[in-house]
Amino acid sequence: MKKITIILAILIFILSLGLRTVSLDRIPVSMTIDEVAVAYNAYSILKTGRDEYGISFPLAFRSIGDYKAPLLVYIMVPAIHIFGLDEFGTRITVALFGAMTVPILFLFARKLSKSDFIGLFTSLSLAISPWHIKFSRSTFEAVLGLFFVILGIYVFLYAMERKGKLLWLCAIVFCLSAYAYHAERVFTPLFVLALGVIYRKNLMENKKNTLIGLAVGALFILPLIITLLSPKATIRAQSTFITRDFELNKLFHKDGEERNLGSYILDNNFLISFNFWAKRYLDYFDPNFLFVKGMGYTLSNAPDIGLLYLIELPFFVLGFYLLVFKKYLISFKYRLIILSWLVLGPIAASLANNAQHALRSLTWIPIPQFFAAVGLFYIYGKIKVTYRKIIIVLYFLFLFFGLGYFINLYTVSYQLFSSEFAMDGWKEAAKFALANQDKYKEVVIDPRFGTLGPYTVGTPYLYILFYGQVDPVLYQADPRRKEFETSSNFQNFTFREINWAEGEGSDKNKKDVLFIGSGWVLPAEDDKVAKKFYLLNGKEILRAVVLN
Amino acid sequence: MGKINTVIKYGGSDGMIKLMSYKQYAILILLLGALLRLSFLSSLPGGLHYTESTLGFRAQNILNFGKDEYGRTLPFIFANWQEMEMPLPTYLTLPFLALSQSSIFLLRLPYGILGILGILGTILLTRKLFPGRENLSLFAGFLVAVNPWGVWLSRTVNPEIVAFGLIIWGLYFLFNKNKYSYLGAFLIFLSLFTAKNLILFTAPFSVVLFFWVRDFKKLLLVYMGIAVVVLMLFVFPGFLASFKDNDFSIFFKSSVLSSINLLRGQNLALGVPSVIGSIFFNKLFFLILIFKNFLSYFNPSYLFAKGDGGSLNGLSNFGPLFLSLFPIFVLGLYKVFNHKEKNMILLLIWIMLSTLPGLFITDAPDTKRYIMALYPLSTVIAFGFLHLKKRVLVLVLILVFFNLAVVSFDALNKENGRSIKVFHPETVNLAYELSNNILGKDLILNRYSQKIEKIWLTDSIDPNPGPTVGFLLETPYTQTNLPENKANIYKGWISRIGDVSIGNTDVLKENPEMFDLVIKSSEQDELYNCTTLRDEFWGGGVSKYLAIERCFEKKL
Repeated sequence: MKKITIILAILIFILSLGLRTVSLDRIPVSMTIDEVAVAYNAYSILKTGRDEYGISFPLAFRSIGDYKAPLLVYIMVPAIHIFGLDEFGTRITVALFGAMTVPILFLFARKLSKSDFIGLFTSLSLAISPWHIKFSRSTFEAVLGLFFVILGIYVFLYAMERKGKLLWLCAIVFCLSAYAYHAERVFTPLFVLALGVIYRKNLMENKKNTLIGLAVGALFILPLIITLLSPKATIRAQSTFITRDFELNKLFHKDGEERNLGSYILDNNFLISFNFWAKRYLDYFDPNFLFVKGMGYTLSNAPDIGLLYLIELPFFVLGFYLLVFKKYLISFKYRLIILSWLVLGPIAASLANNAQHALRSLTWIPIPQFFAAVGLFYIYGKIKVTYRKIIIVLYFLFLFFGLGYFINLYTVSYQLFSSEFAMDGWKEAAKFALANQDKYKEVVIDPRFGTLGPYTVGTPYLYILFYGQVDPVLYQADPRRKEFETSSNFQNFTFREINWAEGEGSDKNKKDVLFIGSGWVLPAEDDKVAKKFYLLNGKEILRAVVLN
Repeated sequence: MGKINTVIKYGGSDGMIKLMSYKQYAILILLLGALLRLSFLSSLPGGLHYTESTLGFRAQNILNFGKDEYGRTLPFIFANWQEMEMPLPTYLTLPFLALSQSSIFLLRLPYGILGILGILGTILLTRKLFPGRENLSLFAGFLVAVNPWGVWLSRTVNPEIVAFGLIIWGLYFLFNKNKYSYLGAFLIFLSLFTAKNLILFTAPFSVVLFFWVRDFKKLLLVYMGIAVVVLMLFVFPGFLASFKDNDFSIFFKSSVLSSINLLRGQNLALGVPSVIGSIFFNKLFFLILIFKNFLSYFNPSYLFAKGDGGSLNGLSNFGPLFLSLFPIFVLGLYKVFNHKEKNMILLLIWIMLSTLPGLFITDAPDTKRYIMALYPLSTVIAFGFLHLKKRVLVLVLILVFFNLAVVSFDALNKENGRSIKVFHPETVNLAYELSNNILGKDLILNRYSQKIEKIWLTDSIDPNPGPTVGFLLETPYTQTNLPENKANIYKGWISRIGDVSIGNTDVLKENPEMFDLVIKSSEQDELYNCTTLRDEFWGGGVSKYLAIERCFEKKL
């Protein structure tokens, strides 16, 4: 590798690191429910070896409404230990894995194309990607999953060049991706299968290493499979599977419905589901989703940004054309790898119950970026040497204009737009509750909130645990947690709906209690309101009420 | 089944299952296309969209009085509630409605016929553009014949399908090197007077054509037609306004500027210098929106799975092209890109230019406006078919026919239910009821026999029922509220058709005894403040009309 390539690759890595770690404690403004849940469980594992429910080293972390993939919790334990249980300590692990994905992608793209140029531009595209930066800064498991997928395929290609010698490592890395994120549990097996078909001759020629790889993989994945087969762990899969989609369910035939033979053959629920899924799947190839509005940082029809920059579109199209239609540059097997990834990338996301889900399709990200880099490489090679610098300067100009636009949208508009569902206000409310905990007999917090009505349900206990750095030993052993099946009450904190209406069970006259809830459930009289908590856009979201 | 002989040659020739001769295949494709376009024509889609009934109502009056609904004698430009209309579709309908003036079947028939002619035109044009590939033309014709895009737009009153037929035939003749090439130019000239938005396709396409035909004389008539349409923008003020409102609506969408200001305001609120907001959020966003519209026409989900969602433009549960064709389309593109033929480049330019009529609108993609892409996209898919191996081809064809069966079954059994709010079948049923059993008839009302003459009809179920009632009741133009000779202002809403008053609640509340019968929605109890004597539900589907006898006690 040339010296200049190494220097540029390092610079791109530094850029990616900067974009993922600068002001990490402040941007995004608030910690999401998932972030505090994962962080506190990591803290709990660090301190006790058990999760918040007291389960010893689980392989599926029980959370609100689902079970989380385990790898992130375990992998962030060192950072929590070093930096403490706060925003930075929580976010730094995924941010670092996000940044480290960039050089791995550089190596992978370079291996496929045998071109430093393509390797550098593919990794640059990932380094400044709105798609990847956003999720890298917010503790999303998908970033981890992607890291292991790219590392896995890189190790696989490396192993294929060395008679399968490192296949065992490849198997471990691919298995880790399945431990990292739910989408990889669909993508990785299919992708590995595709790799097996593409490299069947090589694998058969190196039977010993292939068998070792398979055995290590089977051994490594077995605990996860056992965990996934348990009824509780299937909750996540069931709850997010496409068949649970509200719109699809409206289309289904109902039990007892009168139907004729034609309906059973041509209009059955399987065909209805397939048609519905096909729409969802093909929607991931929507150029507007990819290049114009996929991130959804603003209201619909307002200026937004795609998963990739608009400037990358012409090069993406050219790269796609060259690689797919013109058999340009890369070998047949590598082309098949790219095509497999292209086709399989959105499968997991399309099988879930939301359309055009940027997070669930993150596994797909290297492919359009590789296409764009190939397109740019082609143009670069075709133009006269004297104009090359101009083209590159122009490209960078547009690219960094796009980056500036993204940063502005992400740090300003998106923070305001997403203020409510990003849980703004809960940190301040939790800190206020913790500061005043000892002054009252009980602190009651209502999980319901929302600016248009109390329609969103939060998890205030996690914010109390997180910002109070509550000792997991005490929390796990707290007798109040056994009050009922789903109780998260502890010490003098009670998490339930507040009833301010007159009548039986009313909270209206309870003294010596600090109530925290939304304006929908608590009174507005100034003499009762101890403090108000606001969203970033200035709207009140919560208030604390005390009866004197 | 006979023996299947397959000829597969790669690198320029084509493969086909040889069961019949070329002509027999072509006839079979035409018959299939005709069956899909003409069967259940009056009931699928159920009801009438107001653009259809407006055209029918107008054609009736031209047939009977030589005047349109505004009382203008044989005008050149028409107006409906939404926009100005080009003349050809209305005049094309006249001979059909002359047979039976209020027949929905005959109103839609010319569009079905043009759709069928479009299939034949596709077969012939493909032979002309890609000589030596006869089977390519059959596949292209087959795809135009069966895909929901061409079928659905041929089943309603759609000027765009007329334009499609004329342009395809026009091109076929134009590419002939004989005297008929002038006929081709004439047909393209005619197409300019079908759907006004298609000028955005035809004008640039005719420039492209020059590089293919290389004969200015041949295309002169087309250029003259374009000049006439441009002239119309200045002669008819309503035409220009209609163009702005309908075909360039993106530039007049107030929410776009609001959203730009909102984002700038958010920057200021968080203390970002105003210049940053101005750099990132400004009127260049309109360019992005246009580009976004352009890209929307290339979303595979739109083309092969979900369409634009509008029942007027296609089946609301499927894309304009069959889902099963998507992989064949990719294969076809691969083949097209790997054949360096001049006419394949024409196909690709054609696809690009087809987006223009629907590029500057607020709700892209719009399948109707994109109709000109039907031919090149079908031909690209046909290229894919051509390169399939025999067994795969048989399998794919079975899959396509199964896809056709699934889509047809859904269309026959479910589409009318989904499109109620577009085609309003209840208004058609109501109009028949008024015509056959109510208007001018003696009804037993509240123990008295009463002749029903004056009716009040709500617009809360069908927002524009006037044209449909007018068309089906064969009402003379003189008996509407439309101002005479004022067709330059479109959006002329019909609030009176003969003895039926529509939607004006003030008239009803002030003079309830004026009406013998009130037809309202179930939510409009406040409109007629007296005891309901008898309720009747008319119409089909979810939206139903509720008929209430007037309060005779008041009168007596």
